[in-house]
Amino acid sequence: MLPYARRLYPLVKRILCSEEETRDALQELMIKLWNKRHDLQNCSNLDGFVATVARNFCFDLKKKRKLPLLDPADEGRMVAPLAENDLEIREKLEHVHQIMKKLPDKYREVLQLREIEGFSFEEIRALTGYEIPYIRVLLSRSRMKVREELIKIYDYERGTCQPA
Amino acid sequence: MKEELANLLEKYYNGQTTPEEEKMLREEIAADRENLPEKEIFGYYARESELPDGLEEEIFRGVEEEVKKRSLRFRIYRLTSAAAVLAGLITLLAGYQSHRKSEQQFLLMEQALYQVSNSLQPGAEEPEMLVLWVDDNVEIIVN
Repeated sequence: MLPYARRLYPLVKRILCSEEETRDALQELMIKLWNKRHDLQNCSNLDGFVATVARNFCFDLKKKRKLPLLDPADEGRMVAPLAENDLEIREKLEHVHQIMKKLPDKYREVLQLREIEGFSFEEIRALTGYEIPYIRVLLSRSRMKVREELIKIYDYERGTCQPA
Repeated sequence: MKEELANLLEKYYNGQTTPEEEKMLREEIAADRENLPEKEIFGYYARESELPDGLEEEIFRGVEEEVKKRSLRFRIYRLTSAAAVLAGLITLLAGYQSHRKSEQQFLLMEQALYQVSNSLQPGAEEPEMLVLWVDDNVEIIVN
């Protein structure tokens, strides 16, 4: 049961936006899953099911506790790049964040689920309801878009740094 | 860039890589000397998906404590409900006993009163009768 805590952490944290709330929610989730362990044995897409239960649980919790609703792209980003000491690295990580923030919702969602939360295609299918070929298309486009936009920023910075 | 890495990157951008390949790709990009944009992109993803130290242990401890607390609470509930049922039974039994007792006292009182009233005003004696025959249609009685 515990490996799930590890796997679900980034997703739960993105939704709840708080380290403390995330730990409490994961604890509660683990108890929930443990109590349902007999039902779970017959589940065909267990990982997808668990991820969906976790996501719905977090949304319910958020509603119940009246936690603030942040911009979806900013969800869960309480510490990451801003805690970086090196200003240059921090700036670079911030670039990627800003690019992701501007992606259309479904592109960003799929990209986040795969790259940050590390879910499999089956799990993403259970979470989003999209079919796998479509998920691949969304993922491919969003990955290319992130790269493209980052190169644009590089070019721009290089251009402004060059002496006239 | 090595050809293998280029192929893997192409597969990645087509959305065709497996999680294992993606892991390998991230490691190779991090180790690559060239300053590829993927270095930053993967750096950002890695940073965002970092887990705090000792997460599992902490959650395990929390779950354990919670389960203990809940089982204690459950035991207290069980004890309380058993005590409540017992108290209910005792109350019912006591009620029944007192009801029986008062019925007996009432009977005794009734008998005593009857005796008193009988001694004050004895009832007219029943005339002696001899019943010879009783049928659905005929009754033969001799006074």
